[in-house]
Amino acid sequence: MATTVLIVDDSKLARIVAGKAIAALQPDWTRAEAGNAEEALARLAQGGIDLAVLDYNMPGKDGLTLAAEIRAMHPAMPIAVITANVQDEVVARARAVGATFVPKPVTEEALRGFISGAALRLRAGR
Amino acid sequence: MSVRLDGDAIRLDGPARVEDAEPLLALLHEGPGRTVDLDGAGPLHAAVVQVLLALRPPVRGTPADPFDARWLLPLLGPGS
Amino acid sequence: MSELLEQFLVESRELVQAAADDLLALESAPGDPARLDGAFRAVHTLKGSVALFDLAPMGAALHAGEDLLDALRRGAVAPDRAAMDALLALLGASEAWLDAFAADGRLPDAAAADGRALEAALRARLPGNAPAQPAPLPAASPDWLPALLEREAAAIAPARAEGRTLAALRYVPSPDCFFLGDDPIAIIRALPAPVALHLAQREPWPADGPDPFTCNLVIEAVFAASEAELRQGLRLVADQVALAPVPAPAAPPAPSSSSRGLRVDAARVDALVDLAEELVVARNGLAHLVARVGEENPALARALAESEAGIGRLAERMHRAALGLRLVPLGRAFARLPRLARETAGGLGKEIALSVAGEAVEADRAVVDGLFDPLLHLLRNAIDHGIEPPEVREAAGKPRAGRIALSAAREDGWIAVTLSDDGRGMDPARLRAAAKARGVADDAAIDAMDDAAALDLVFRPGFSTAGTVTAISGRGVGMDAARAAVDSLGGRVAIRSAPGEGTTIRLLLPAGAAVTGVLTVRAGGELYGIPVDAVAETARLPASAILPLGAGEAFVLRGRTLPLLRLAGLLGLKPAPRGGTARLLVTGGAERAALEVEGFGGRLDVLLRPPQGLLRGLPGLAGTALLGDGSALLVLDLPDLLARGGAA
Repeated sequence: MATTVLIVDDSKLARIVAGKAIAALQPDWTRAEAGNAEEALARLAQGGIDLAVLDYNMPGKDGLTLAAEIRAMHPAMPIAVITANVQDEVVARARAVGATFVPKPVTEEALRGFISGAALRLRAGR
Repeated sequence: MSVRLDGDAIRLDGPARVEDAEPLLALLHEGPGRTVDLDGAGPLHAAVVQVLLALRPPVRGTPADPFDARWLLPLLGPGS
Repeated sequence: MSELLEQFLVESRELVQAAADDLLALESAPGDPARLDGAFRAVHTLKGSVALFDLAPMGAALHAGEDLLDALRRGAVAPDRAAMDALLALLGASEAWLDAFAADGRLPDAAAADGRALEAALRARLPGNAPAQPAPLPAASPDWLPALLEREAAAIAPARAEGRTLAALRYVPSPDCFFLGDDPIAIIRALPAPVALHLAQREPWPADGPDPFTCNLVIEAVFAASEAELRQGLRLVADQVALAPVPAPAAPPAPSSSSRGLRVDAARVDALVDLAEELVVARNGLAHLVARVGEENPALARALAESEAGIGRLAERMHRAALGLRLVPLGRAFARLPRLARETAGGLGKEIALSVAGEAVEADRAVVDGLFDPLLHLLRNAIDHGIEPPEVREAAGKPRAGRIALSAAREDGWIAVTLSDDGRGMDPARLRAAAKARGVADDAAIDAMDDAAALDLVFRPGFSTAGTVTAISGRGVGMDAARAAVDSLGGRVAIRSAPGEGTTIRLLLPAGAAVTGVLTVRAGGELYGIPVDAVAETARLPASAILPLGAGEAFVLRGRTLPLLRLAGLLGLKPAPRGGTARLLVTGGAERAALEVEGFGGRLDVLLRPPQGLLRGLPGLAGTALLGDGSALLVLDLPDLLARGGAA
């Protein structure tokens, strides 16, 4: 089965942008989308998700809180949190749950490190 | 980047990324005396640098990135 | 006082001064890392020394100061005014505590409470997540730093020699960092100004080669940047990086503490000077004896005279050399003034810019020591009454900060110390009015004064024209005490000022006691000394050569007519009757005059001391000298005497 990325952002536009960047880096990967934390968790429960890219700034549960919950259920899943807000606390919280920090704007270059690393981990894990 | 064999030398072309470490390692294992040519190499990822540090193959050429040329190359040379 | 305690006091005072100098320099060069480092090291060392004695409140306050200075030099706190004020307050308190400790052997009772207040003020400036840390082990240098510095010594040396700020890091990426998308080399590549780089393995490489997915690197590097700048680029991996500043190379020792200098107990120098003086006096006694031998044995007398002259020269040179040991730079008196001036100005809401020059000019220790208090009074007065509030200055088109210039220079045998300001200047009319109101002198005398003399009224006791008497300068107590202090040093104070033109105060102080050649003469039955420099020649005239001239007398010397005065008359003494021969000395200088004396003594080398006590203020007196037989010789100031006597 193809590697599947879950993209979580309350903005449809942002989801498209992230999707394009990922497609440029890994053309044969599949993309799934969610607009908020509940949808994301529901989709994850269905299975088949290999890695997740989460926007930090969402109404309701923010991306870091969601990352912590996902990490609890999926100890080895590569998780990235996207934000323009580069504060030390945010960085520290991301590190604490083993999530990679990806700064906005989301471009190929911005995602490359995470995607390469995730690909590596997934390959190594198999 | 591509890691390819050119005669008995291993050529690194373009920026070296994390996924290039594995192929480089494989090529070095298969031919332990092979020289690694860095002339066409872009900025080296730590994973690639690591392989070169661990195995210490003969290295030739100068990477295009000035930081790599000035600071990494001396560490990869013989007897560093 | 034990040697250890003495040493502690000397060094601690120097450290306080050094720290204050660095902090004050930061006001004009904020963030200068060398100054921040200097202040930190001084306070750090001081804290360590204080720990040797029972000075707990001082140690605790210094510890807080050290923490704040460390935060400042790390860039964790900005060097703003509040931080500077807190640190300077700490130094001021430390100075006072050292004085108390020196005098009483312990800190004052208020020290505990004062120390806590200082600590609180200092720690309040620290970043919120830095609570009072338990005393760190001395030299908080991380264990990896020395080895790194040694290995990279050659690479670091040029940057260090240029005085650049250097910081070192040790980055141990987590083994799974590749999966997270980290590229440790890329992170290092993005940092500014690399100076040295070293890569090593965290654990031994596996026998069959490295695991390409696991990071096994340890990265050590040095950059010509501050820790703060590096921290920026390392934020995403801050938990995996240790940063440390690279200490600057030990600063070259300041000239005053160079190995060519020697710390000598001041009492020993004084003892040497006293001995040299006794020698000069004793030699004069020998001169008398030689004179007596002269009548009985001229040949022997000649030989003895030569020997005596030689001894005299040696004694004089030795005395000068010994006095030279007592010479210290005026900088000693000036050193604490900038900090105190800043405090005074701050307390009064004034802004000042104090410039100091001539610190290297040397004077006798007693003079330099005695100068500090009067200078402080004068400086405080200038800030309090002279310099206008910033708004007033701005409205008048002046810079907000009052300019005060303190300078020192040698002028012949004197030291001239000048304190001038660009403040509002002094108004003679106001001074006269205030003097009358306070009954400082009688009205008629005040009215008769010219403007320059009116300015002098500020030095009278009980005088103050300030609208409000401030705690700083009080009821003009400072000015008259300042003049008294300068007088007791053998000096003079003068003021020049005009409304709107600022004020200049000039102190003239003797550079030091010196050996003076004097000619002894008899007048009115008493022996007096006249400095040889003041005498052009001596002469004996037949009494008949003296001619009446108007109300006085005169005579002709080589075609010139010179007025003749009796020295006894000038001194207010009854002159002895003139015999057949008149003995005269002709004064040097532009206006020649002749003084008749009753007899000449010999020439002596004496140590001229400024007039003390009852003799002070006597007209025409240059000073006194001790003679070989123990008596005191009054040495005359001939120009002064002649001026008062109204030489024709």
